[in-house]
Amino acid sequence: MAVNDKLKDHILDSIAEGVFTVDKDFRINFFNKAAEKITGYASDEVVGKFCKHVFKTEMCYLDCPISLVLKSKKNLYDFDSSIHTIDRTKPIKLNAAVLYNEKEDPCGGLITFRDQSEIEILRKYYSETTQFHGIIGHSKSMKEIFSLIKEISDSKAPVFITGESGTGKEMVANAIQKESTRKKEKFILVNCSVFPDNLLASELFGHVKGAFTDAIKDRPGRFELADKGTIFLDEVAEIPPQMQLKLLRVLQEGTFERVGESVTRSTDVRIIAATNIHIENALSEGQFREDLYYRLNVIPIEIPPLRDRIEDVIPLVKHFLEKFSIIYKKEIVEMDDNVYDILTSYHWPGNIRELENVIEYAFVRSSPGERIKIAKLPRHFREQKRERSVSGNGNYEKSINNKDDLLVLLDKNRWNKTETAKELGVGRTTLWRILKKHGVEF
Amino acid sequence: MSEMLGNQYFMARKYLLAESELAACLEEYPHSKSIKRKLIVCYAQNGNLNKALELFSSLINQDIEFIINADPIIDDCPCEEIIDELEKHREHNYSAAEYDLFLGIVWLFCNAKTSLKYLRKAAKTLHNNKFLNSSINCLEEYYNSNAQSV
Repeated sequence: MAVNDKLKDHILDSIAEGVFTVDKDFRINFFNKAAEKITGYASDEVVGKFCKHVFKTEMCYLDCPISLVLKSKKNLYDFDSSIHTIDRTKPIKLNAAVLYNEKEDPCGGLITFRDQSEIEILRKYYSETTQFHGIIGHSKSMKEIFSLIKEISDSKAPVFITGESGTGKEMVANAIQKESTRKKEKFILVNCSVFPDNLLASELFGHVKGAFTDAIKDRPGRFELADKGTIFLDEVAEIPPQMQLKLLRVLQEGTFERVGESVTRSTDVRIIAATNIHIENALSEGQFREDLYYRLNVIPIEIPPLRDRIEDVIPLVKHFLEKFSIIYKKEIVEMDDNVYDILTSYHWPGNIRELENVIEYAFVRSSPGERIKIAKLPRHFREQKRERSVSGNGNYEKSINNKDDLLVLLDKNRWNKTETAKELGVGRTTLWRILKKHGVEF
Repeated sequence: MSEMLGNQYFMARKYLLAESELAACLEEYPHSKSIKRKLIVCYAQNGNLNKALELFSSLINQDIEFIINADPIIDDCPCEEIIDELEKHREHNYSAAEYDLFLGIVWLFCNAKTSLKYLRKAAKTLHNNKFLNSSINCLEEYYNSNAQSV
């Protein structure tokens, strides 16, 4: 049965994509209901008008989609563009094709388009809320850290960052500096654990010629170099006790002496310090001075381990896939769902650094265009999967749903939530939620 | 070659590209008034006044009102903006007679009387140009028969 014009119009009016056609002079001769809805123009207003007089975009003059099809003789699909609507310009994705008459001469053009405004808003929102100076964090805890960093942007108070290895302490320090009023000044990074005790003093405070065997000339230290700027002391708890006192003086008075010199120098430096050790233990064991700790810990930031913000795993995976696609010049944008299952139930002792390494390993082992499969993960992940499929999930389900089982498991793990969560294959937060559901609080 | 692509170039005011496409189309459709009308503007804008005049003469003898009734919005006729630009900047490489001829051609898209004034002015120098004389005759004839409305 042939489809008559009225039926064709009805079909075109029933679809959600905007559709319009032009004749060979580029006058609009059809404008469907969705096009009316997206643009705000009624069909009667625009039919008969030149499309450039309706849509008024620069593209009409530079890269008219239909002219691109006429030149290349290839239809356009998902072409990013914009359209001038009754009240504003909207981002759209469009498809374009040329219509031909019976002599195969071009006699018109067809444009179908989708409004991308909401997607753009979502993309912007997603990008703003999950990316902060390169830090990926969709979880509530990370968003709180982003907010805190913004709140302290006007302050020059010291910041003390704690978090397990691989949680991104340096990136947080970098974000603090980028948000601060000192963002245009120097930002000096010092990893206190990599210098032997005798060299660390020289590194931080500088030395004069002859101060020690290799001191062949005067050399400024990092505190001098960072004057008016910011210094990031990573692994600060590794600083030996005698030097902690010197650091305390910099914090209190802003003064110091170069090694081998008695001249007192001053510096105006904002200090960001970080450690991955359990600082309370270091304090109680006397490894770290309490007075220094309280001076450094004016603004504490604790970065939660990845296992406690498991909702960040998927955005991080996607971020790393994009990153490695660029580095390795091959496109792999997805993973199998069961790979995500494994990644989100793993306890990530090495945190984001470990996740990045796992993704890179799987990425380099996968072919362009394919989805990453379990077989491409490092061996211990594949074994974890096998163990779970042999014995795991049944017990997990049983324990999760049975309060008594859960209590037995907790008892077995001496009420250690991390160990219990690990055994159940869930994150600590998930375990906390389950315990709360069962009325178990501790 | 594609008339539709030529139309798009014309619409985007890419006169050199439009001329190339539309000139080829005119060979296939020598009586197409729509192609001629655009091509006259292209030739004039690209500095090829002789070709513009020849085509102008051909079209006004074929259907003078097709030019006279051209509308800046309805027909996307660029002549108003061309005249405006020319009069505002006065930057061109034409002699005085060519300048008058250029204006005589493009003014017909806007006002027949002004067009005739410029064409007559051009004819004082270019009095042996058969296409110019033919155009003036055609316009005078039209002007005389429509004196009230022109």
